[in-house]
Amino acid sequence: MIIKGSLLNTTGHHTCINKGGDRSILENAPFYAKKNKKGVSPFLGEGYYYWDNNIDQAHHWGLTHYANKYAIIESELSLTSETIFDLVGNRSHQLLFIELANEFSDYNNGKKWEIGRLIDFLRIISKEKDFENIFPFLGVRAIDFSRSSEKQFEFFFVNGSKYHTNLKPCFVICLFELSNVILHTKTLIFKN
Amino acid sequence: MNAKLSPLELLKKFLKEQPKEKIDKIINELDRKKYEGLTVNEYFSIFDNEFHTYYKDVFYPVEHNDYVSLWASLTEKLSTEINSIERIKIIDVISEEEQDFTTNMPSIYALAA
Repeated sequence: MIIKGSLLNTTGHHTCINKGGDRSILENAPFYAKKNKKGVSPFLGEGYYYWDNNIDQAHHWGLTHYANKYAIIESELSLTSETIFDLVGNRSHQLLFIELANEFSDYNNGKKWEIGRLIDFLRIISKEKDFENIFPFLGVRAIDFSRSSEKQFEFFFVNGSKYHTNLKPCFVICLFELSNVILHTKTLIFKN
Repeated sequence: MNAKLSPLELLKKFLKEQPKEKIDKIINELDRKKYEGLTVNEYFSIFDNEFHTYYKDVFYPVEHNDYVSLWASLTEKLSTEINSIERIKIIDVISEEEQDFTTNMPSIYALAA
């Protein structure tokens, strides 16, 4: 198979509730996240969620969202610029999203939507004939800045200045389908 | 025909050319709460389906008979109590945890209240 676009191989960590035994979890994971009962979309829209190489965040999610009764699945993922709408490291994709969001906001009486809802909307439109290229991706990746500011992972460009980076950003990956172009393996690495 | 248009141009074209009713329908569907506006029978149908495909097969493969009998008795109980309700307006959200059958139970009782 010819893979188009620049390639990034990474490890994904998926957290799910620990029920049904190892075999059942492994067979059925990753689990599809849908809108909740209030109609609110997940972070990046409906799909299969992974933390990008972030086992600590996977444990944190299990602790806070599954009452500490959770399992973690690890998967090898291949992300390309053609399959993943990358709001982390692809400036073209970031700029495109801003343009799309602004355009929709103009239509929507200036109302700005959450990222997940707008992505769900674009995915629905892209199923229309002649509009497939509005959003032709199989997944999306973004940074959760609320979980990316731990002080111990700050590294300064110049000591004594305010200029720094953080080497433990929290990247969220949402896959819209379980394509073997992206998802290669899954291993149950933890359960509690 | 639209193959050469950028995503932004396509979105502009879609919003400009498609009937407002069609776009509003998509937006309303996105805004709709999961069970809002369903008839009671539709609600039961969806929940029953989710229960059988998800809770029983995935999470309760061993003790699922207990849940089947529980669900059956609950359905029978509610079907006699909620005849006067035609449409579900809002289901109380007791918990955002979608994957736990037990947390869905209170919202079913809220229906009958």
